[in-house]
Amino acid sequence: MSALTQLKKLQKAAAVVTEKVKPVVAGAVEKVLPIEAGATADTATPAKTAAGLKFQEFWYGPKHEDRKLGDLYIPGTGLYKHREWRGFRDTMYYYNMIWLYNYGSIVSTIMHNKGALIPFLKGTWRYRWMGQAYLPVLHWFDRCLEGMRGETLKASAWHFNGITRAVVTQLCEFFTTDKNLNHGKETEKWSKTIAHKETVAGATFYPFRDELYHIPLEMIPYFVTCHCNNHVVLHYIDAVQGIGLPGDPCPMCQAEAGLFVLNDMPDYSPVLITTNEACDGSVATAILQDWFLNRPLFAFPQPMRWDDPLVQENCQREVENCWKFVEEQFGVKFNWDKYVEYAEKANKMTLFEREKWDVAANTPNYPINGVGQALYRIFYSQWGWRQLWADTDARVKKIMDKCVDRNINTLPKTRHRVIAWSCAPLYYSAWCTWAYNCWGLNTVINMDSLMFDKLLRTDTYENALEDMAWYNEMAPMRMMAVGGHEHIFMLWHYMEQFNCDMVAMYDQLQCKGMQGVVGMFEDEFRARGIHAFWIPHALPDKRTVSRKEIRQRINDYMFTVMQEEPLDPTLLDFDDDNSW
Amino acid sequence: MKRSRKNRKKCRFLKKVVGIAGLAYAGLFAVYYYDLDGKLLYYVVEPFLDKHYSAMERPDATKTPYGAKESVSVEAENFGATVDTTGSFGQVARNAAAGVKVGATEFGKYGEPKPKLVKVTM
Repeated sequence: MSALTQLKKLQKAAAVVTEKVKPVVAGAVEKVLPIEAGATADTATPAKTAAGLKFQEFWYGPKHEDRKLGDLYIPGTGLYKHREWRGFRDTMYYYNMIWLYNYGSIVSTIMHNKGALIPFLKGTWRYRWMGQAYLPVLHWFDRCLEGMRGETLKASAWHFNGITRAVVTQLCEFFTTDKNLNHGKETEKWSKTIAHKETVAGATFYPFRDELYHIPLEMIPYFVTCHCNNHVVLHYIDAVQGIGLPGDPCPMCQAEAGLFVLNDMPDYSPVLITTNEACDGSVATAILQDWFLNRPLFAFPQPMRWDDPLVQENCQREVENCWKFVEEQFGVKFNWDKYVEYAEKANKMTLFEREKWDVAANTPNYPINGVGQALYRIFYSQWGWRQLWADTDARVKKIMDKCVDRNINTLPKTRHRVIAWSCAPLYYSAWCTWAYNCWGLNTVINMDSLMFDKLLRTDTYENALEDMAWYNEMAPMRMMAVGGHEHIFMLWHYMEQFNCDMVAMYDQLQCKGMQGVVGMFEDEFRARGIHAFWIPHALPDKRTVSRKEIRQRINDYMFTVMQEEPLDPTLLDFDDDNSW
Repeated sequence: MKRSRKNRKKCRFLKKVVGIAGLAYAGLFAVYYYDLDGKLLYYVVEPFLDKHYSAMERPDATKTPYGAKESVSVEAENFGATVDTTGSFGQVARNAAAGVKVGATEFGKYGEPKPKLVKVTM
């Protein structure tokens, strides 16, 4: 019998004993101490003595209204004087299963990628976005999981763990392939890796899985950095403006091009596949990228009116042309069986996503907070199926099932169910965590989560091709943001479906497409009597509208229009301008 | 006797290991609770790395010649547009260079890589 089998047997035996002993111990403890099984800080019966009350605060943590989370910050920095005391169980869970576990998980993911350790260290030394943005990743967890308790803390944290492992995996793939770190040599892996813009759906490359790698160009050097450390991207925005680009185009496109201007991009592929998603700003980025990279390029367009039946034939042909380009460049044949294998795996994830939405829409038992939902969904659907996503989903499903079975109210201070619409400020994706803690605004769902909601048929090649074309069109921002005004008005449908009573309307000030429909939304909100607050921002650039100003906008709306009082007044106004 | 001495040694060793692990666990909890990892990264590591990246010598990417893609620029010059020469579009560029104006394409059956070119009167 192998050691692993023995260990598993021991674990099973231990679990059986624990299950039997737990209620006995809990019963005994409850007799001695003022705690109740299944209670929280808000639901526990207050102890009669001062010592008992102190013990309850240690065990359950302070009540929501007494947390004073804003007092924990060191002004200006976003650092904590000390991290939050969430009660004994949740603090120990955070310490063991989030803080320690994720530091360990990062190291183990690097070690599991053969030969990745040295390139990883070299990459950290070579690339600004790596060293500055990703080392403080655990602070990103802190910001997004602030105030979360119980099952919500657990399920949301698993989402962040999934994202972190995916980021580390992509970093390892980058650095082990990168010519810049390999004295300009082209390794075998380099010649087997496809570079594509981050908005090209990873699903496109299912037919070539296991023979070729594919890494999105900007997802790691740009997109995720903004969430972890919002200072880093400013270097790239300034760099591209430094060569003459005016300051008003979309700062996402500016930053993506700026990476190349500053020569801060790994050289990991012999080809480049570009796309016009999200808009023609991305086309301009691709032109600059093509100039700097100078290698075979395939432009993979998505129609601006994404569901126009007249363009479907063309879209299918573009998908095929993309596959042909890969075949020609890499000498690898389109593999139908691989496509079927991975498309079916991806379908399982889509089905689980729908199950999650069902719970989110129709019960108070959904254990994933707004930012966890948004970032996990956009990341996995964009990059395509990976085993690590399936593992994460399995863990989250267990937690969600438990919440539904026991009817656990996962975010009990919810006053309003919010749907967030249009594209979010990358430098403040954690605003919804703040909004829940401060005002009880529970962001149930967001626009980007609803993209790629399509099962891929695998019965015939024709059906598969048709679905792939549709899938590619259902990319973030194209489907509902800049894909035609009638599509962005799908908001009303989703608002009803998810039982929301309020809209958080993002206002990307440098998105010319979305700026054009601001007035239409204002009219519709008024006509339909919908409570909506605007969140102005400039996607990755925090200098245009700061986090503090975003909070002020929401505070103003909640005080003046809703005439409500905050749950935690210490969060109304604090200085985090120089925080990560 | 020998066994019990060995056992005692093992016990002492185990106690030491458990003691050190316990101390490390408690020490790490202090790091976690007082956000010492964040403070180290914020006040020490990040400023150091920021200086390092800013001082790094980098090749000037803007010196990349515009015409590096020889085949594209030469062919494109003939009709004043940037055309990708890879895959099926290579034919478009070649036809364009030969004097055929590209104005619209008719889509062939799926799988046929070459679009049919239509002459446009300008």
